[in-house]
Amino acid sequence: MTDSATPTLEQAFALVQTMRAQIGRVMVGQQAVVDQVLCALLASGHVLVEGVPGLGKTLLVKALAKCFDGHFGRIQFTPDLMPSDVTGHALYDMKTESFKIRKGPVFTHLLLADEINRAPAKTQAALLEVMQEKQITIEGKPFPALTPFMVLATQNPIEQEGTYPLPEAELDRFMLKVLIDYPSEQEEQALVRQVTTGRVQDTLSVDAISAVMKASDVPALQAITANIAVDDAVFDYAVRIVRTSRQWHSFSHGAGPRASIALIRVARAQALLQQRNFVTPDDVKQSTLATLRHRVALTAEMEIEGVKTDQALTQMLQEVEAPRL
Amino acid sequence: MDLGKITARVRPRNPHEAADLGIVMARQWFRPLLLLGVLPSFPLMLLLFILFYDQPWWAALILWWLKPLWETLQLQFIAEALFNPQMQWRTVMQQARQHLFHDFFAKLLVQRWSLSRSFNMPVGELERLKGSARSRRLSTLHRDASSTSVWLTLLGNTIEGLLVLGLFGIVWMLVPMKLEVDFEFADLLDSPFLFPTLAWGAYVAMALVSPFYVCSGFMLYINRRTWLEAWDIELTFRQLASKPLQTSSNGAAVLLLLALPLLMLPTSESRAADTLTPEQSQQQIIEILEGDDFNEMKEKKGLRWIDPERRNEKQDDAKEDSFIARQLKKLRNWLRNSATVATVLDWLGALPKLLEALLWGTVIALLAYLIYRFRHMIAPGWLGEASLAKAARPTHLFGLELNQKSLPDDMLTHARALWQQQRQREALSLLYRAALSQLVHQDHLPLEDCHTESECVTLCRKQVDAPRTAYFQLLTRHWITLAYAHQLPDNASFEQLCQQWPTFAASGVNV
Repeated sequence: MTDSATPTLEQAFALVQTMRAQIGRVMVGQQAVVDQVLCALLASGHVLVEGVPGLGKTLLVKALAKCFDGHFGRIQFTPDLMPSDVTGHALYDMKTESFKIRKGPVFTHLLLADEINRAPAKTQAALLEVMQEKQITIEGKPFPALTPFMVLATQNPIEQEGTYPLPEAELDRFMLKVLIDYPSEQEEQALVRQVTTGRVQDTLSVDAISAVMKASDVPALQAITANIAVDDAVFDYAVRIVRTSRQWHSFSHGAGPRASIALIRVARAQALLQQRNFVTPDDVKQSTLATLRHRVALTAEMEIEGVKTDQALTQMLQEVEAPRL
Repeated sequence: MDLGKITARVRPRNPHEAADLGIVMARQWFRPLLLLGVLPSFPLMLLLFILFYDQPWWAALILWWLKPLWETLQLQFIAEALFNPQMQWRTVMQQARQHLFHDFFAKLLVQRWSLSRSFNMPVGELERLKGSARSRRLSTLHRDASSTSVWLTLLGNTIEGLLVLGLFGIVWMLVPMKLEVDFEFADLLDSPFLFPTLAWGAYVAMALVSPFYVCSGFMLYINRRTWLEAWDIELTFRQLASKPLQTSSNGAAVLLLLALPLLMLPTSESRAADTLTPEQSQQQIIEILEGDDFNEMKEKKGLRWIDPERRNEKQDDAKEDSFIARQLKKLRNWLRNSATVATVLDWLGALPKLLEALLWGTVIALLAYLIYRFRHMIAPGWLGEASLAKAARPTHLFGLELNQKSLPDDMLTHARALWQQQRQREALSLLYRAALSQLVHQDHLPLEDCHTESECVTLCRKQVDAPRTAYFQLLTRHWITLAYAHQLPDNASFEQLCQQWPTFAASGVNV
């Protein structure tokens, strides 16, 4: 699709599948991660990716940007990174004798915030405004962010020394927390073969990907996603899941209403990805882990017992009744 | 064993003196004793160290466990050397095999853990006693001196530990003062050389301490026998018997002359005894017993308790007692007669029993808790199966009544009738409900409330054959589309579902 007319539902199905296939050409394995990131894009959310280095996070973002011909920006978060390094700053121009705004890397479609927890809270908070309000304030002047705008922040689960854990409020801004794990043996073999055959560099390039649409078409796709039908029973199911997390014994605090909203939005995107024009309880259930895992906190006892958040959430899901009709 | 050749001065000593004598002996024969310890153990240690290269503490531990083997050799040597100072260690080495493997398993398994091992060893190794004979002998010997041998073991262990620390200390002290050693104590703990060094240090300490340990234990044993069998007296007699003969041969004639009247004496006495009647003898015995020799009077002063029976008899004496003694007696009487005190004493008497019961209760409760807590490790699926069985037949799923009784007898006709009446949702719901009921009751599918529709299909795929799964999948798809997308299936699809139903239900009972 190259014209910016609103696509039909069938066109949207086809577009999404093409995007999946295009990203799949360079991103070997990690299909679940690709799907979740696509869901976040369709649902207009941001993603927190957690995984050890070298699993193709940058490649994924590049590939996604290339898919819709969008801009891609990357910030490597370090302890000395300043907020203005993220947003941009005003610069006095001697020639024109006026202040010029130099826009920061945040003015992009897809922003990869690498190792976000390495920067202090002040710099992390600079991202908050743009993530929530889709606007950036430089020297008191608001600037709108590009559309679509999506932040993919990464965290390294090891090497926690000298990091600043993201505050709850900021974590809540991320629609999904995606865990990226090592590829399977076959996938890794395929990956090694693909990277080493006929290439000089040791990274995969996104040249193989051709743009499926323009960046300006993405909002239309997001609008279609937002109009996927959701039955009352499914709404009820999603809300019940989130509410159960607040009383669940394994959690010291559960997820807020933003989680219910995110859950339904992701479920809608999931349905679109499954080429359905309606959401089933399965879409909700499958999205629950990624949507809730960063919004709940385990109790101290559970942490001492070595229970993982995902385990507790899975256990909780077993106690939530599926929709009754 | 010829007591006459003993090289140590034999006299009854207290256990500490005996152990001390053992130390002196170990110093005297330190070289052969050390060789006897190191020669068999060093190759073994080297082998074990190579075998357990990654975990060198295993080598030290195994060597420690095998220690009684070469201590046997050391014991054999010292036992011989005590009577024969010219004893060579090579002689013991030549007989090493029979000494090492004598009572091998008992030495390493049962006797290994005794704290008085050094003291017990001679009984097994030198007297060659086994089983009940050994334990009887030990019980006789243990009445005294065993506590010293226990302390000897503990002291030996402590010295071994101190030696290991000392070895490290020496290395530390030998580091020149001007050399700036810049590392933390924790770095030392992480060092890959730590455990090998510790293992070898422990080995050296064991080798150095064992001669002293063996000799002290052996001397404790010899001392105990000196007490029991009066070796010192025997030796004195022997010396008495041999001295005159050795010093002057003509003295023997004098001795004989002197001894003659003595030799005569028993004869005259026995002749006198023959003339006495038993009564006379009795009388004589009584006279002798009443004589001064048997009735020495001694006066002792002190405080002591008097039996209650004798209290009355002694009441008069009590008046003469000191004030403190009177007060103590009063206190004693009050304690004996007071009911409260008796109850308290009874209660206190029952306290150990109570504590024991409490302790056992705690142990049992703890065990029960541990079994419950780690039940999934002990018997996986133990509780899981129980809960599965419980949940195996839910009566409701997704708000649908699944009880077979709640379904109409002729389900298909009923469903078709509902479809005709434009109550399509009810018709499809009935069909889906019947299918679920079939899966739950006939195929024993472990469906739970939390399972979504597609999870039911996945479970069905695992347990039910392909054609039936395909039917259930189709039915589920229609049901989901109707329920969540509010899209009705067309008549043909519904009719197809109805027609295939009997095949699906065929394996179960007629619904």
